[in-house]
Amino acid sequence: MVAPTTPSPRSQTAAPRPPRRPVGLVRQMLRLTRTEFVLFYRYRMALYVAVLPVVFLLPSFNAGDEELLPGVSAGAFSLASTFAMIAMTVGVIHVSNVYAARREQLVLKRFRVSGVRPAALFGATTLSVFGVVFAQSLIVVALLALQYDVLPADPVLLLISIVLSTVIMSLFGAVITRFARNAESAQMISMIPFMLLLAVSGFFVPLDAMPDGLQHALGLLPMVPAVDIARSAYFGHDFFGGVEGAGELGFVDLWIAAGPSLLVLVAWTAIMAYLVRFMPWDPRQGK
Amino acid sequence: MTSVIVAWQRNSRPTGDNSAYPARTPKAKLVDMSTAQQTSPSATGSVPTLAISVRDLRQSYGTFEAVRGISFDVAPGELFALLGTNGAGKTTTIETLEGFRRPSAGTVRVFGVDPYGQPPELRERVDAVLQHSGLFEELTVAETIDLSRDLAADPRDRADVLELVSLTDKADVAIRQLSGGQKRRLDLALALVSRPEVLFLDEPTTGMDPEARHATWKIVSDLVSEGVAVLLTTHYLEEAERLADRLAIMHHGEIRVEGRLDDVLTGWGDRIGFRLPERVRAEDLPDLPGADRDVDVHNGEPWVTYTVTGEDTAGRAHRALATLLAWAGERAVLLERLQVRGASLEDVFLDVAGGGVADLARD
Repeated sequence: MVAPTTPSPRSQTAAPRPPRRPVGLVRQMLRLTRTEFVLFYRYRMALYVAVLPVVFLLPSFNAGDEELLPGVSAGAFSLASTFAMIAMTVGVIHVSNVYAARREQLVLKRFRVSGVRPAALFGATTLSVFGVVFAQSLIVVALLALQYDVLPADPVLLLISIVLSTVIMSLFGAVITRFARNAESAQMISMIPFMLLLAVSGFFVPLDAMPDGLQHALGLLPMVPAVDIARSAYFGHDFFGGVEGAGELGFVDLWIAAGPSLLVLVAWTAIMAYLVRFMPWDPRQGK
Repeated sequence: MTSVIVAWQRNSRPTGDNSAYPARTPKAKLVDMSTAQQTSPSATGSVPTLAISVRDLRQSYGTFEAVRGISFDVAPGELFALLGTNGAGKTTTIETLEGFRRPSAGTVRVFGVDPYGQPPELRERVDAVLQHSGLFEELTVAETIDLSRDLAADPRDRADVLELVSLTDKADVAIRQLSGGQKRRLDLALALVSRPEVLFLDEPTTGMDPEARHATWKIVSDLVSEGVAVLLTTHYLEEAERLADRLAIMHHGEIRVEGRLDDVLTGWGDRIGFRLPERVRAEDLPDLPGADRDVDVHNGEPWVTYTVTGEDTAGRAHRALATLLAWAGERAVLLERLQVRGASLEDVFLDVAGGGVADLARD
């Protein structure tokens, strides 16, 4: 074994530098968010991501005007599900592709070696995704208002469900890049959880048609609670036990009814925040 | 007429212990690791004097051991070059120091701190030029610099940085429109923005034209003179020769040779080389005293190299040359492109990497 030789610096006089005040996490996050929006526009991803969730709007337009409950038409009920769908689409598909590509191009690694904290990077991505999801959610609200003459009964609860869905799905998009070698494989790999989550969201296949045990199990996944909260918050009804017999609730009762679903979303947020720590920053660490 | 190029280089002097490989590198001491220098405290007793300290580092990928117990130190104001063939373990070592990998065994320290996970103490002090560009292609050069500036604690001015890497006129150009060499210069610029105290350069001049490469060497050299500790990996041996205060050659995950350039070259012998004359067969060449003969083909030409090693290398090379010239004179053989020189870093590198003696004709 070769023993290390003694260092031989060429400059012995360099004075130690005074400690520098580190850049705050929020400042890094907001600066990166700004760049995310610039890139979102310049890569023309905005168009793709804006168009994709339209797919979820189409069934809503075909759902008809049949009233499921007084003041809640089938079309409006279906359209109110799309808040969570938009978050899932943008979060899972966009973030997984972007992160896999950035890892492959050493962009993520470059940021990390420059002292950018993981929380700033994930936070910036999540904020930018939220910006897109929020804009699209406003369009959905506008459609509901114009087409069905209905506004959110509890906008705060609705917003919280959108925020939590966005955070979960954005982090999930980053998490699944662990299993992607590159951006191309990320596109394919992201479709698997995307389709699975879509299938069990209750959007295309009503949960009422499923066995009780399966319904309860799906209620522990993020999509069903997110859709339930969005629908309940929008119409002010208790849709957490299904559509049939969903009664109208007051503000407090609605939050109480939403409690278990909110807890599930908070738990998934924590799980994703934990799992994202294992996301490889270096392409050589990818699968 | 035979042209004799006598290029006595650094190591045309008696060598020390030359018993066997790696003892052909007498300055690469085979010292017991327990006596190796650890991070030594400064006069104040609290601030480590070493910027980088690696002790018996091992890194494994499954059953494959990529790095096999290497140790080295880098002080502030010093450039240490890690050389090696592809897969030698250089990048794994740098990635460990950058904090992306936890050592399988051994310790790594940057300013006395374990770098794994980029701890807060090191975030503002370390930066790197990665193996290839990690840039947002749709941003302009100026936007990219500005982004790095906004993320750094005490950034350099954008104009200064751009001027330093000669990209001032490209400030408003999108990165996707830059050439490969310009992107590498921008990579360097981004690493300079944060005024790092430790800089990891992973093949920083790959893709650069000679002028840009020389300019980069000047920038890096100035940084080192200002007190920055630089760990460089490169495939350009000339780059290491120009820049490195000390260097190590890695092979199969181990450091085979380490030390100052002069010390590394010492003990690897002198070379006598010439083009094999047309009417002479290789087996007819003379045996020279104390010299190993090697006949190789370079650029389609048969090339003869005698390597003189051991005690009194210079004296024995003189005697070997005299014997060779006498042999050629007796037979009226013209020794075209005759050269005599000391070992180059390339010779050492190729020997360590198992590739044989470098061809003299490349010099």
